[in-house]
Amino acid sequence: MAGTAARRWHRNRPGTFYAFTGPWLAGFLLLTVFPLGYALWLSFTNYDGFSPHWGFVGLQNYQAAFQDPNTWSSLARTLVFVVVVVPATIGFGLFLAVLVNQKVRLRGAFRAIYFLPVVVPPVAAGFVFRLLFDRDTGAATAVLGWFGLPPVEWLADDKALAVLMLMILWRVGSNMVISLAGLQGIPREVLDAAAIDGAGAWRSFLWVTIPIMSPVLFFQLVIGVIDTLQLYLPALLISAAGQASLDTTPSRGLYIYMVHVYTQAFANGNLGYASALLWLLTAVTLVYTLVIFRVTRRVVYYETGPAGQEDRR
Amino acid sequence: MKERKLGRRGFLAGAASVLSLAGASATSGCAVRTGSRDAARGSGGGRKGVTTLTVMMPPSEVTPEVIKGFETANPDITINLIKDDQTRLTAMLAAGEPPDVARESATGFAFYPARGLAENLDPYVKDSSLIKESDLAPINDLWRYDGQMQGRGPRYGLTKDYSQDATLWANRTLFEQAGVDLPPDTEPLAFEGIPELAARLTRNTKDDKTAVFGYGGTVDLTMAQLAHMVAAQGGSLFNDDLSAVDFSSPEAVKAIQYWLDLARANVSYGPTRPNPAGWDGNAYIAGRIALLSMGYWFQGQLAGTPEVAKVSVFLPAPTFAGKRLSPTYYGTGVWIPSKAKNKDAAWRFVEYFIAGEPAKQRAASGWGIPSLKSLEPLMPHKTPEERQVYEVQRRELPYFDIVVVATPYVRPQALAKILSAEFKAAVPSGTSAGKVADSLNRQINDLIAQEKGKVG
Repeated sequence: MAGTAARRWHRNRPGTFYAFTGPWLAGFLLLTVFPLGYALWLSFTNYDGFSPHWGFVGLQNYQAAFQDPNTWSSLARTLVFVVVVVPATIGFGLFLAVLVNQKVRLRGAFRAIYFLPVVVPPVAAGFVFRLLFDRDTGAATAVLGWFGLPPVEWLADDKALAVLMLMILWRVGSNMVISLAGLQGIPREVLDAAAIDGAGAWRSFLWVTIPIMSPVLFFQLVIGVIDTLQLYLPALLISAAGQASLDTTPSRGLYIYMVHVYTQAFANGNLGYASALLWLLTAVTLVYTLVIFRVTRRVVYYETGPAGQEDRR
Repeated sequence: MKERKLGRRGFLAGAASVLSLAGASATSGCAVRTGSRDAARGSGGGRKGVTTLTVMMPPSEVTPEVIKGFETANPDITINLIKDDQTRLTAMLAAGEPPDVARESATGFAFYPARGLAENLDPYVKDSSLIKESDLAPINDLWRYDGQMQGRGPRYGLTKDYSQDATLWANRTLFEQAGVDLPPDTEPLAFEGIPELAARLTRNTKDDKTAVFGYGGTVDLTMAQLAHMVAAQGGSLFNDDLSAVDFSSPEAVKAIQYWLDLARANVSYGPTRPNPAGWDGNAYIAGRIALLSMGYWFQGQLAGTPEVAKVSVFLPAPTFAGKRLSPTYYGTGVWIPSKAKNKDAAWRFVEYFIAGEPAKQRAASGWGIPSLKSLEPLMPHKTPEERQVYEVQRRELPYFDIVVVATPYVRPQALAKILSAEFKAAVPSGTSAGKVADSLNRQINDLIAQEKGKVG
C-alpha cells in the first residue's frame, strides 16, 4: 500500500512541481519577461501611442539617450541620491534598531513611532514636506531663524534634492524593522561569549553583531540601491504639492532619472525613447548587482552554505 | 487509457501558448478598428440591453447627482466614471481602448484630430435638439480642425464652460493696507504696469519673509500666455501651417521679457519661489496675494469663502502693447474618441452635460461662462458682489478672440515642459529674453520636425 502511494507520488512529482511553480512562472513570463521584451522592441521604434505613422529607428533612441544632456544630469543626480540616501537609511535604520532592541519601558511604542512614517501615504508626505520647507511659512525657516539665518528657498533649483533626501530618510522605519529582525536573530550565547572574552559593548557590536548582521545589511544595500534608482513618485509629489501630473515641471534638483523617463514617456509621448532609457537603467542595475555581489563576497557572512557548511561568499 | 504526464516540454509549450495569446491580445489593441455610429449602438453593455458608458472626467464635475440625473433620463445607459488622468488616457488610447467620453482643453486639442483619434461631432450637433450650432459660444470654434489649421473645419469637441483667464481678482483689503488705490473695473490695466503695481502691494517682514505677494497666477512661460501677447501685437508664434515656431520676433521677445521681469521682481510665486500649496488660488483666499489672474470661474471657488468674496473685486484682463484682447487659455470641454465603443450613448451624455441640467447648474453657480449663449443669463447676478462680477464679465466677452496656442504636431504637455524648464533656468541665471527665445526656437522646432512625419 505504502509502496503504491510512493510510486504514485514519484510518478506525479513533475506535475506537482509544475502545478506549484506554474502560477509564479506564468506571472514572471507575463508580467516581467513579456513587458521587458515589449519595451526592448519599443526602444527600437519612434512609437508614441498616438500617431499613425511610426516605425523602426534602429539604435537612434540609444544614441539620442547618450547625447541628451538631461539623461546625464538626471543620472548624476540619481547617483548622488543613491550614494547619500542608501547608506544613510541603512546606517540610521540599524542605529534605531539597536535603540529599540534595548530592554526599556515603552519599547513597543518607540518602535511604532519610528515605523509610523512608513504607513503615511506618499501623497500626504509630499504635501507636508512642501509645507515644512516653504520659504516663508515652513518649519525649516523657523529653525534657521533661531540661529539668525535668513530664509532659504528649499523647493527651487538643486536644493530641492535635499528635501527629497530628507523625505526618504524620514521613512527609515522600514530599514529599522528589517535590522531589528536581524538583531533579534543573533544568538545570545555568541554575545555572552564575547563578553566573557572581555569585549565591551562597542567591540562586541563591531566584531560580533555587524558580521552576523551582514547578510541583512547586504540585502538592504541591494534592494535599497535598486529601489532608489527607480524612484520618481516622491519627486513628482514634492514638485506639485501632492498632485503628480503631466503638467508638473519639477525643480532642477528633483529631475532625477525616472522623472526624465516619465516626462519622455507620458508628457512628450516618446514611448520608444523612454523604453530605451529604461533599458539603459536596467543595464546599469544589472551591472551594479553583479559588481556588488562580487565585491562583497568576502565581507558578507553566511552561517551555512548550500551543503550545510559554514560558507563565506 | 494512456496516462498523460505533464513534462518540462509540455509545460513550457503551454506557457508559451499563454504568452502568445497575451501578446496577441495586447498588440491587437494597437490594430486599427473602425466603427460607425450605427455599428456602435448598444455595444459594450454590462446588463442585457444596458450600455455601459465609460466617462473619463473628474468626480468633482461628474458628481453622483449628475450621474443619477443622466441614468434616470437614459435608463438604457449606465455610467462607469473613471477619474481623468492624462497618463491613463495615453495608455488607453495607445491600447486602442479609449473611454467613451474624455476631457481636454480646447486650446491644445488639435493634436488629437490630427492623428485621427477624435470623432467628428458635426453630424451629432446637426441632429441635436438640445445643442444648436447658432447657440454655441465662439470658444467652441477652438475644437475645429481642418487638417492644417485650428479654428476651421469639422468640430471635434465642445467646451463645457470657460473663462477669460487673464481677468483679475483684487483683494480690496490688501490694496487698502498697502495704501494703493483699487483700479477701476471699467478700464483694463496694462500688463506692462503690473510689476510696478505688484511691488507696491507686496509686503515683506523684517526677517525677509513675504507676508503678501502683490501678484498671483501663472508666472511662467506658457504657450497660451505668450501666443496671446504676441497676437495682441499683431504677430503669431507659428508659421502658416503650424509647422514651426518663432520666439525671436520682436513681439515674442517683448512677451518673454515681460514674464522674466515679473518673475525676477520677486513680487509673486514663480519658478524661484514655488508656492507650497501648489496653486495661487489658495494663497489668494488665505490673504497672501493681493492681485490674482485667475478668470471668471474663480467666482465659484470664492463662493465657499464668502468673507473673501466680499472683499474681492473682479477686473478686466490687462492689455498688452495697448491692445485689448481677453484670452481664454483652456476652454476645457469634452470629446469622443474615434475608437469609443458607444459613440451614440457618448453623445447623449455630452448633450446632457453641455446643455442639460448640469450645465444650467454650473452656469448658475459661477463656475464658468457657459458654452451655450442661451445659458449666459443664468450666470449669477443677484448680490452686489455677483452683479459687479457679472457686469465686468459681460463687458469683457467682446474682447475674446480665437488665437492658436499649440501645434497639432506636438503634445501640448511637451511644449509646456520645454517652456517651463527654460524659464526655470533663465530666471535665476539672468539669461536674456533673446537667448531664451533662441533656445526655445531650437528645441521646439527640432521637436516639431521630429514629430511631423508621424502625422498622416
